[in-house]
Amino acid sequence: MFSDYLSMQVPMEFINFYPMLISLTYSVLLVLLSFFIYFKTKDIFEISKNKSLEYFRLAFLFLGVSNLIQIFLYFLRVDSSFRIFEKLSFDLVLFFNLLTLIYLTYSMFSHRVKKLSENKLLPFIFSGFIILLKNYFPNSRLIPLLFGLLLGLYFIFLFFISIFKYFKYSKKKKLHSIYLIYILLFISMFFSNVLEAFAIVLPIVSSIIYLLGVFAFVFLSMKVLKDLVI
Amino acid sequence: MVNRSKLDVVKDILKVVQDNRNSIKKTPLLRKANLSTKRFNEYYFILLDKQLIKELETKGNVYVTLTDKGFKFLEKYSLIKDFLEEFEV
Repeated sequence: MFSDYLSMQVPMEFINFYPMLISLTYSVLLVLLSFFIYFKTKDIFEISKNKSLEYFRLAFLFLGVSNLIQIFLYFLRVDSSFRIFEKLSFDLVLFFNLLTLIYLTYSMFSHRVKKLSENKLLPFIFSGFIILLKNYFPNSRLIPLLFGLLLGLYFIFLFFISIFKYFKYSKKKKLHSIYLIYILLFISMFFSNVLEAFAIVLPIVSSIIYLLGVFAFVFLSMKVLKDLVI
Repeated sequence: MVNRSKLDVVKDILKVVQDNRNSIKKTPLLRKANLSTKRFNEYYFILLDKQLIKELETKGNVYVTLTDKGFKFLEKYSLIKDFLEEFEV
C-alpha cells in the first residue's frame, strides 16, 4: 500500500523502496532507543549529577532528534512539493549528528575536558560553524571530501580509544564494558557516515551496517535498562 | 575523610533507613547520615522528589521509609557505580 502511494508521487526509476524501508525502520528504531536511553537515565542523572552521564544522555538525545529529522526527510523525498525543505533538513541532520559525536567524545573524556565542556555553547557553535563552512562552498568537491576524511579519521580515533579503554577496564573488572558497545557503535557510525556511497552500491554492505547499528543500540539499551533504570 | 560522591551519599542515607528496619525519624537519620543539615536537606528533598523515600505519619511522628524504588536503588547500587566508573577509565 505504501509502495503504491510512493509510485503515484515519484517516477518508478527513483524508487528504491526496500532499501528505503530498511533505512526508515532503522531510523525509527534509533529514535525509540535513543529517547529510551535519554529518558530512562533521567533519575540516576538527577541523583548522581555525574558529568559523563550528562554528556552520554545528551549524545543520545541529539541522536534521537537527528534520526527524527531523517524520518521527516524520507517523507519529504516522497512528495516533490516539499523539496525546498530537504536542504534545510540535511543540514539539521548533520548538525545534530555532530552534536552527538561531540557529546559522545565528552562522555569518554569528561575528566579531561572539564574546562572545555564548561562552555555549554561551544558544541553548538562548532557544529554550526561546520555547517556554515560546508554551505559556504556549495560547489566545492574538496570541502565535503576533506570533511568526510576528517570524520573518518575521527571515528577511527574513537574506535581505537574505545578498544584501549575496553581492555584497560577489563583488567580491573570482569564486566561487559560499555566500551565494547561503543566499539560496535563507532564501527556502525563510521560505515553509515563515511562509506554511505559505498553502501548504496552494495546493498548487502548497508544491511550489515544497519544490523551492526541495531545490535549496538539494543545491547546499549539493555545495559542501561539492567544497570541504570530504577 | 574521603569525599563521597553524590551517589555514595544517597546510598548511605538509604542504607541507614534500611538498617533501621525501614523506619527512622528525620533527626536520627540526619545524625547517622554524617552530613551538615543544609546538605542533608538537599539530599532529603531529592530523595523525596525521586520517590526513593517517603514520609509516614504515625501517632503524630513522621517516619522515613524506603519505597520500592529506594530498595531497587540499593540493589542496583554497585551496577550503577560500575557503569559510571567505566566512563572515568
